[in-house]
Parts: sequence; C-alpha cells; structure tokens
Amino acid sequence: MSMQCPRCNHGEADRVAAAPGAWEVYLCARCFYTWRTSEPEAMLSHERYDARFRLSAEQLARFAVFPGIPRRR
Amino acid sequence: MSGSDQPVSIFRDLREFLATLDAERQLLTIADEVLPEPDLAAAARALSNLGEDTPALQFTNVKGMPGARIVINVHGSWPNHALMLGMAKRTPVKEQFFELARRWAKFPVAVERGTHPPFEQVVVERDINLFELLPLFRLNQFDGGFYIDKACVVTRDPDDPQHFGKQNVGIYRLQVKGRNRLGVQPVPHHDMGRHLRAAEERGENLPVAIAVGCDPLITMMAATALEYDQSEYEMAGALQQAPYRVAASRLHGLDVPWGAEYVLEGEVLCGVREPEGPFGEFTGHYSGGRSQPVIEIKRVAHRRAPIFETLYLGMPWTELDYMIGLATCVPIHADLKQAFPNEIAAVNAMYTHGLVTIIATRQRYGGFAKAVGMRAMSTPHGLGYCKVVILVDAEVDPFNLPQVMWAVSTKVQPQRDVTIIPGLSVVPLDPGSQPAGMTDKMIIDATTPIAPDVRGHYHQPLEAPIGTKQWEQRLAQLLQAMNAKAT
Repeated sequence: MSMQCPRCNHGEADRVAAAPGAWEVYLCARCFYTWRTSEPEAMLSHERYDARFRLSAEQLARFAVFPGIPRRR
Repeated sequence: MSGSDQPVSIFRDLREFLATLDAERQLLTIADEVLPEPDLAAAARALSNLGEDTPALQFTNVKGMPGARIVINVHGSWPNHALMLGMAKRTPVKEQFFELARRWAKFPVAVERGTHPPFEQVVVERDINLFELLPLFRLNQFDGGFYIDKACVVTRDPDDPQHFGKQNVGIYRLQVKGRNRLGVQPVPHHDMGRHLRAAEERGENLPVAIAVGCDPLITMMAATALEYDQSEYEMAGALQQAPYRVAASRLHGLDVPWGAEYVLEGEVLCGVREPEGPFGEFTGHYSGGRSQPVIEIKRVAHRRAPIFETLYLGMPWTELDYMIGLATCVPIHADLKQAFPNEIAAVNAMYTHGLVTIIATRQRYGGFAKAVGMRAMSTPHGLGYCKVVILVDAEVDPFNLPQVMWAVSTKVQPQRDVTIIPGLSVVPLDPGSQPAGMTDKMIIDATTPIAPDVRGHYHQPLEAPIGTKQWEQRLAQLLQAMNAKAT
C-alpha cells in the first residue's frame, strides 16, 4: 500500500481498519504511527505535520531503549 | 455508609456503576453523531474544564463505529468519586479522604472466585484485529497512535508465580501498534517492570491479561502504588468491605476482574523493543518517544455489545487526577502515620500524582516539620514524587488551598523555612528532571515555629469570633432551605 506516513514520511503503511464511506486507519511500518483519514488535514501530510513531532530515520535509530534489556541469568 | 464496616454499594462491573451514575444524574449520553477525532477527546477535555462536579460521558453514535459505546470521565469528578465509595455524592473531599484511609487499614480482604464471567460471551482467537475489535481513537493530537489507557494489566512474578500478592494489577499505557500488537511502558520501579525484568533474565515471555472496562474501584486500585506483595484485589475488597470477585483468564490462569467488558490475553515478548510514543501524559507534556517492550495478543474475549472505557489525560486537572488523587494521598498518609502516629493530621498529594504534596502535622519541637517532609520523600511513592513538600500546621486543612496559601504567605521565612535537597530521584516523566529521573527537591516549612525555634510574631493568632461554628450550621441550614424553595 503506497501511503506516506505523515510523521516519518516512510512510504509503506498498512491499512488496518476501514469504515466504508467514513474513514480508513493506516499504520506506518517503520515508526508505528497510526492515523485515520478523517482526522484534520494537518495530521495527514508530512509537509503539514507539526515539525516538533516529525521523526526521521536517524531520530528513530537513536531512540533510547527503555527499559534496558537485562542479561540472561 | 460512611464510617461503618458494613459492605458499601458493591459494583460488580462498570455497568452497575454507570446505572448508579445515571440515577444520580452523573451520566450524560451524547447520542448525536460525533467524529472519533477530534470530538471524543475534545469533549473529555472540555468536560474537565467545566469544574469538579462533572458527569461521566457516554457516546453512542461515533461515525464509522456502529454499535460502539464509549464511556469517558467515569472517575472524573468528586461526586463520581464519592459514589464509587458508596458515599453521598456531595461528600466533601476531605471526608472522602478520611473514609478511604479508614477502609484502607482493613487490608487485606480475601477475594471471591467467580465462574462464567460475562466477558467470555464472545471469543476471538484467530485473525485478531484490535483496530476492529475496539473503538480506538486518538486522545491528544500528537500521540503516536491510538492508546488503551484505562485497562487493568495483570502479570505475575515469574520467580514466584503462585504468590497471589505479587500478582500485579496496574494501569499501563498501551499503544495499539499492530492488529495483535501493543506497545507497553513498564517503568522499572513499577511492579510490572520488575516482572518483565525477571522474565527477560530467565529468557521467557511474560504472560499478561488486560481487562478493559472494569468496576471503578479496581481501576482506581490499579492506578495506585501499593507495596510489591500487596494485592490490588485484596485492597479493593477492603475498600468495598466485601470480597472482590475475580475470574481466571483462559490462556495463563491470571486473575482478572470478573466483571470486565473485554479481556485481552497475550505475552510481553522477551528482549523485543520497538518505537513507542509520544503520548500526552499527566504532567501536561508529551512523553517523547522511546523503544519499548511489545505485547503480542493471542486471545480476545468480550461481552456482547461491549462498553469501551477510556480516560482523557493532559494538563491537570483531568479525569486521571480525580482517579488517583486521594488514592495517592492515603498510602503516604499511612506511611507517615506509622512513623509519627500522634502528629500527622492529613496529606494532600493530589497535584500531578504527588509531585507537590501538602502535609498537615503537629510538631513536637522546632525543626520537626522538616523531618516529616524528609520522611515523606523516602516513602515508596515519595521516592519518585514529593518534589515539593509543603508542611502546614494540623489546624490548616491541606485540601483547602486558600488556607495553605495563607500558611505559606505568613509562616514562611525563606532563609530558614525553605530547604533544597540536591540530586534526588523523580519519575522520568517529570519534564523538569535533568537528566530524566533526577531532580532537586524542596521542603517548604509553613508551620508555626515552636521552641527551640523561637522567632517571628506568632503569639497573637487571630481566632474566629465566639459562636462562629454555630452560625456556620445555622446559615447552612437557612441556605439549604432557601435553595430548596427556589427549585
């Protein structure tokens, strides 16, 4: 499905729900952002998505791991 | 029923409580069509802006979600909180606090095991799609997705799985990140964080059951920090003064609230972390995003025509603050009482889950109140909260902020009464902490100095005119009669 993620601009998203005539829900395969097509316009395009909350591949790669994964006993 | 040991109104499930709210005119149904976003969250936010007496909201006509019934703000006001405790809906907050503290001391009350829980009416084990099974929606605009944020999440200690008390019931934010996948945030100092750590050290997945739409008491208990081996179910029994009813989940035999609307079962995947968040949190700020654990859901059971209960949170006050407010005060009060049984009068830790805490105390000698403040910071909850502790005299009602501000205004001499303790721990979600999880803390001693700390002009306190109490009662009755005539 070619649908750009409004948050991280990844080109692969999965349609996970649909209400015919009302909306569809998509899930980004990279950053897991989820959006509904009936949301306000500014939430649906990467260009208009608030810059403070956009994510790049580099930012995602730098996400802190929380909680850390412990060593096996 | 206040002050009595008889069972109070017991709500076996959310539906019974909603019926009570309806009968008490504390349930508002919106039957007009609304959009999932932004209407549902906007309505919940707006409701919290309208004061302390607001009703629960029920939406029955959400566009694209035929048949869905979504309830918000079930705990979100002092009348609703009082009704949950089986008290009259106009019960003042301070009275609710003392009643909660009184019942708290009855812990533990053993559970009752129920059979044929209604959530087993519909079972889905194949092709699970949470986006279709639940009427999910976005809460705050820049949340990373749709969250389940008011569910009782049940796990056991993998090193001691038979220990009932170590089984944990907690509220953890759950981001729906796939048809059968949830992101979860088990903070290491929370019980589920301990369970997950043990499971991952053993190289195992951690079984989990998630109950959505429960009776209000267990949801409040799930949001409360109890001791590690204290059972939330046995505390709920103490609070309702009758055994709490649980049912065994099918896959892992975890104990879940019998009356739940939905029960999702699965496992936290060992060693897996994936991007989660941000999520608008109770601090009034977004949490930021991190790589966090993942739950894979393997079985969903739900009632026919299930009710989806959720909660709006954001800049205080919101439903969350009502739900956890008094339940945050009571354990700190109990811990302080244990140390200083004759001195502690009351504790108000309702501000941002106790980041600010106000303690009313008697003093034995000069400097005593500061020691009470330090003790509060070393209680289990205080270790991660109690960033600002304000001490007031026992005669000051800590739930009455004008009285507290009077004490701060007139009793505090900053050089002597403000103490800053550097480099202490705090909940990492505190946006002021730097690095996340570290902060300085402050004690503001607004009690009246007593010997040997002799200073200030405090020997001529003003007292109310003689007879004020009697006039208070008389006028209250006259006003009540006047209002009754007007209606």
